[in-house]
Amino acid sequence: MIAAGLDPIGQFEIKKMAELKIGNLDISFTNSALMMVITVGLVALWLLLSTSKKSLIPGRAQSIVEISYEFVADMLRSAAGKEGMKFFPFVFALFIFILFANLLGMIPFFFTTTSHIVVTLTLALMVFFLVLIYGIWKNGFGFLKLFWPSGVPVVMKPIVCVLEIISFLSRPISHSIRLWANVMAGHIMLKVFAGFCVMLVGAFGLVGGSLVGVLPFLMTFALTPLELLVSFVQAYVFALLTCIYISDAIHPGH
Amino acid sequence: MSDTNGKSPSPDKDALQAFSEKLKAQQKPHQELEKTNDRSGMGAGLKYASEFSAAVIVGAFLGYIVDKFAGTGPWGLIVGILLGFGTGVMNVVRAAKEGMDGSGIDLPPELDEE
Repeated sequence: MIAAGLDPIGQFEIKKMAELKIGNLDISFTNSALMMVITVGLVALWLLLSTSKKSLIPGRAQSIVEISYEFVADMLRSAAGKEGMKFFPFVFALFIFILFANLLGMIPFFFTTTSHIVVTLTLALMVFFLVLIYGIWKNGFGFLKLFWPSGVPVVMKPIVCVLEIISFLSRPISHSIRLWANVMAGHIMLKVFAGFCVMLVGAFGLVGGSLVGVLPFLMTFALTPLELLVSFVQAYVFALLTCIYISDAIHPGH
Repeated sequence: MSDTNGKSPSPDKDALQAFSEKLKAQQKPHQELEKTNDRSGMGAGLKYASEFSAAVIVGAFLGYIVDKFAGTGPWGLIVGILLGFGTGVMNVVRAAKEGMDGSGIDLPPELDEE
């Protein structure tokens, strides 16, 4: 029982909360789905409540919403230009969803949805197909310019073209792995160090264990703010990469 | 009213200078902290690792698909993995370049060297 509690991977376990099936397709409502619903609900509640006043001089809550708007809008505008702003709702939703999911995951006993590669890969594939479909719809065959390298000797161009295509296909994978691996590694690290405290108390008794256990406790204490920072940075990186990919769809020339 | 006895012309200026020195000394540790805290080392490592491994995975997968449909033995997989390694290096170079001007946006490609 204690060993199960100390297992650093146990926190990522998916538990079914309600069985649901369509034919052979298992679409049970899991703890991961519950956390996503909570995340979306919290975001909706936050945005609705803090923009309900709509005052010209923003209050505290409205300022926070306006700052988040400006933050994402600036990021998108500087990466994809004015044309990219039509994707603002998508990028804003992605950024806020990932940020909230990461931060909610930092609360003890809460499940972190972004620690599963299924979730992050789905988000990354959404971006990938958006870029692919919009790029072809907007530019037609001009979109293929993305794969035709510039600044390379003519002999090398076909080979580099193949590499560019592989590179393009690898985008959703690296895009999703970055978020997933950061979140998962951080949570495992926290759990391992926190688990050391419990194990030391178990090994040396309450007094001796507490004396030695201060060291891993300090480590956990130091890692927590770092993980909060990582939560934000990774949401930012995911949104920024999305902006860069969208800019590729709009201007495939470079 | 001038600097006959070596004193500076106005005491205000002295106070201002002292204050700005104090301010700078106060700011210094914060700036250094921001620089080092900017991105955790693990984050940077995972960035390059994911860029590289993703390309290898995709290259190997494409080679495997070619093998499966064309029946070309192991050669598709071998070529695919090699191309994947090449792409991985390209991805890593790009990822390293993109943060260099601090904007996080891709630098424009270099011009032809002729």
